Amino acid sequence: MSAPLIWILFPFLVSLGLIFLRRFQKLSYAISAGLSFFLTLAALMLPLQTVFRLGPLNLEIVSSLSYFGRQLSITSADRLILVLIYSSGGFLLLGGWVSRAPRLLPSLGLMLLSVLVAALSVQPFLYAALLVELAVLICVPLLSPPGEKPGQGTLRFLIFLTLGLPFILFAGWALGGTGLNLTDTRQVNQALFLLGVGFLFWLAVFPFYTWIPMLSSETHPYSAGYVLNLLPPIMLLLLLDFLGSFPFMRGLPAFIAALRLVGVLMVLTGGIWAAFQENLGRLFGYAVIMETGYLLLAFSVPNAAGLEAFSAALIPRMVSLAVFSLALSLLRQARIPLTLTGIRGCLKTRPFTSGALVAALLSLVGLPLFSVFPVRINLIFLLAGESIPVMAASLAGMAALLVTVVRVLDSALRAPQPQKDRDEQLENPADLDSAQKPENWQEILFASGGILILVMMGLFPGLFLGGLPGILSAFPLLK
Amino acid sequence: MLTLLPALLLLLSSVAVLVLRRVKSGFGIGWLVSALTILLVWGLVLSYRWLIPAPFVLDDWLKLNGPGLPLRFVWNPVSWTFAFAVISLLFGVLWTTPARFESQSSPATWSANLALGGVTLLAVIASSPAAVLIFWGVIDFVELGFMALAQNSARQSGEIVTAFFFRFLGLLLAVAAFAIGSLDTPNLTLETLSPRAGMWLLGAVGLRLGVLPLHLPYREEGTARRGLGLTMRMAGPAAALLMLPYLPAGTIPSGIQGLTLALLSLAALYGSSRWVLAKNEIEGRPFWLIAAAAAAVIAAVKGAVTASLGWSLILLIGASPLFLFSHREPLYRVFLLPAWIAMSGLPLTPAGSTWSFSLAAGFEFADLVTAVAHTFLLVGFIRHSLSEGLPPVSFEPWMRFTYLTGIALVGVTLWVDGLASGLITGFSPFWWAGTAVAVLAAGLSLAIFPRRGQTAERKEAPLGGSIQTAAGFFNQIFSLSWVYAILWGLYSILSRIVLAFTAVLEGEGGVLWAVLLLALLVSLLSGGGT
Repeated sequence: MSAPLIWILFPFLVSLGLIFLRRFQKLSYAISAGLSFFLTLAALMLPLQTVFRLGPLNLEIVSSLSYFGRQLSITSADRLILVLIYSSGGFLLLGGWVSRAPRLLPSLGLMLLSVLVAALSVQPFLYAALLVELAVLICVPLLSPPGEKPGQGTLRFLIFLTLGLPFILFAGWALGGTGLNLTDTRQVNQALFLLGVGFLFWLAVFPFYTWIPMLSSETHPYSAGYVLNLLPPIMLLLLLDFLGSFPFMRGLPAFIAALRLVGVLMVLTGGIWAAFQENLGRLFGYAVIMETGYLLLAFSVPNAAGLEAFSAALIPRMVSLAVFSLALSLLRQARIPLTLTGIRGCLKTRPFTSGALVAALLSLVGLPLFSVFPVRINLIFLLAGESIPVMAASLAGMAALLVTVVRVLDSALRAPQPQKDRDEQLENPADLDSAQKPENWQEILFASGGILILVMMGLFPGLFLGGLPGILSAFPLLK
Repeated sequence: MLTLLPALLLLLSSVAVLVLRRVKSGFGIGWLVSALTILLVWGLVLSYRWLIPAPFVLDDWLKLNGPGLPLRFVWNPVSWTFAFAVISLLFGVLWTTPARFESQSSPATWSANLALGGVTLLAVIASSPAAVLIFWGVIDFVELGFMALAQNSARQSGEIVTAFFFRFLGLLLAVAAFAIGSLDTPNLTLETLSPRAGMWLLGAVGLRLGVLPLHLPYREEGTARRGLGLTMRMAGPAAALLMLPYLPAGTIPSGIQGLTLALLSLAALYGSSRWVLAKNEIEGRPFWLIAAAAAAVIAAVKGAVTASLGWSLILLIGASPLFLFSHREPLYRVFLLPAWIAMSGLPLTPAGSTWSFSLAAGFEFADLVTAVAHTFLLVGFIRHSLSEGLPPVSFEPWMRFTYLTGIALVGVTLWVDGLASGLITGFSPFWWAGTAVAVLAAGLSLAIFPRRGQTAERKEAPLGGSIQTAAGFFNQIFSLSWVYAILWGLYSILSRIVLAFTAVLEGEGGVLWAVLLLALLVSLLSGGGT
């Protein structure tokens, strides 16, 4: 038995089977989330490359699987990455059930997890590009369910991420040409430039991020949340994987400067643009952009503390964005327009859902008591040591997002819209019933659970995040 | 653990009161638990003046390599002074509660008072950046939550979120201050702040208190006014004012000191004049806070750390007996005297010593303005204490006892705190400054306020009319609605620019624009091709 078989092929095959079970939503979600949690536990408990007894059987899980001369390799050092991906996937899939996400989420969501794990474990690295493209293609029906016309955002998502593919492939080809002879600086620089452009597309870095707010405003918030929650961190882990092969790059001043500039631009533009949004879906998109910016800024701190800050930020980011998208989905499910005007009075009419929305936003700003605060303040302190203007720009981004939070809060606190105005905003008269129904126990459970997790992570970060830097053991050459 | 014991006791009793409410229908047992707990904690905190517990440090809170962000809680003379003020205030609130049994008081509010008291206590003994920021945040969220529950108008909702915005803007400024401070001092604590960090921290405190720049967090008081309302109003300032005594000398560069003092003087003058003209002490409370906070920050800017501590205490407990003074009889007003005398500025009083410490650090024009503001605060105190209150007709003897004990204790706290913290030292060469304020305030009060039978004529007096007119004019200016209107206009303009830019990037030619921007970015990074 091999590790790739367990963590890649098995979930992939199950996800294929789930496509046929898509009419049975509860069962599909139970299987996909259950399997994700099972794989998380397996990653934590099953020994790799060691013979162990399972009843009467002696088993060994080998770390690699070869195909057509390529290798999928999952070693003990990759365990925490598996835990990160499958546990996040499990929780996200669980939330999909209550958020009434598109029917294909359980199957394609699980499939996406397995393909992303494959992208992280394939050797040589070059082939990750093809697997990422496969992941992008899987995302398309998730974002634009069959029968629905894909929106501009979905198309642009497909275009931009596909544009990254040839750049990464060319980079691999160019690096292959150097024969890893790093003294051939011209060719190395060419390869690095191509790779950089490839990652610009993949990471949806400024100015290629326009698809994110478009996508998040035109698709189901939970599907968009699922994709946007998983893709950027995995792309960054791929970048880490790549840099693990060329660790000298992290010391290049130009590389650090580029990361900082791009990070600052994403944080600032994301924050400022968010401050003027009326549409909460778009706001979610800008929050994603800002979070990617902060991850890049953490990555730009050229020492071990920067890498630790990067790895520790992954979970709080995911949890905050997940709660955000869940809250948006629940509001949408209640036929409440996802605009500032639409959520007027929501703190009175749907206290748990709108509470979760506000809590997620407060967390994303990086305010105390919520999950992002400990890692954000750690990052700000690190950035102060590197460059005061970069630190100031990071704080300015947070302040800009705070403006948005205040606007959301103001709207949610106000008296509900007069019934007549509210009725006029509804597309379908039948929606009136949904809008007037109080929150059910599932919505209350998930929304309050989300708030609780955000607060617990904010108050006891060591308990939740202390082990995350262990992810870096998969990239031993990076310092 | 002794370090956190008082706060933990308050938090536990808060839960206990709620549990008792669920299991027992009796009203009194919950109050008894609250009152006894606060008595116990008050004694415990008092004992910490002499039996100082060891600092409580949680080093591996974040468990990451890097700057190290421990949670550190310390009892030292500064934190004790603030903690004692907070606990005494809470004592007053809970012991005067029986007077409000029939109106705004319930086990839920006692529980909230205890919880907020516990959190505020943790905030004032916090001594590391992470601990300070967390408990500032907790206080803000608790206040936000209560205000959100109590708000009942669109205007109030706007005020709540505006106050919240400025508070958190101050918090972000404090993050910057601490981050900069950590460059000068590794393992930063409040005791080791550098002047460079101090400047930003002062800005953060100014923003959180509403004095720098001047803004009014709440112009309307909510429904929770005397009990929980008072605890809430004082929690945030207590946690922010705590920073002032820690600010190192030379915090404000001499180049901007004049401007800063001018802005603060304006805030002090405005706040104190609105306090004296307010309809009652509850309506005037936001202005009391502004005026006293401005005076505290003025002292800090001048480098008179002890004087800023004195003003902080005056802000927290000076007028608090009055804020709790809901039921009134002529004789009851005697219980307000200790507080008024403590604030009067006479020699050997806390305020008198505050003036001595302030002038010992040098005389500024702002001191003159502060003296006027101080006079107004004292006059306002007398004016509001002389107004009619609720009659204590349904008071039982034990209720009268707890009510008056609560008020008296808060009044005496300024003396105890002043003596224990070393604020009251004895005669100083500057004794005349505070005395002048006291004499002026007493004289003005005698001249302006009507004696029995003169009310109607005084109202018609031309002086009163012109004061009201002038106040109306200044109120228009200082309500800052024009500033908010300008800010809103700028926001609208910026909004149009951003939306136009978005339309270009997300339009048909968006991909090409993105590529163009990338080319610009690359050329910027490569130094323009050189």
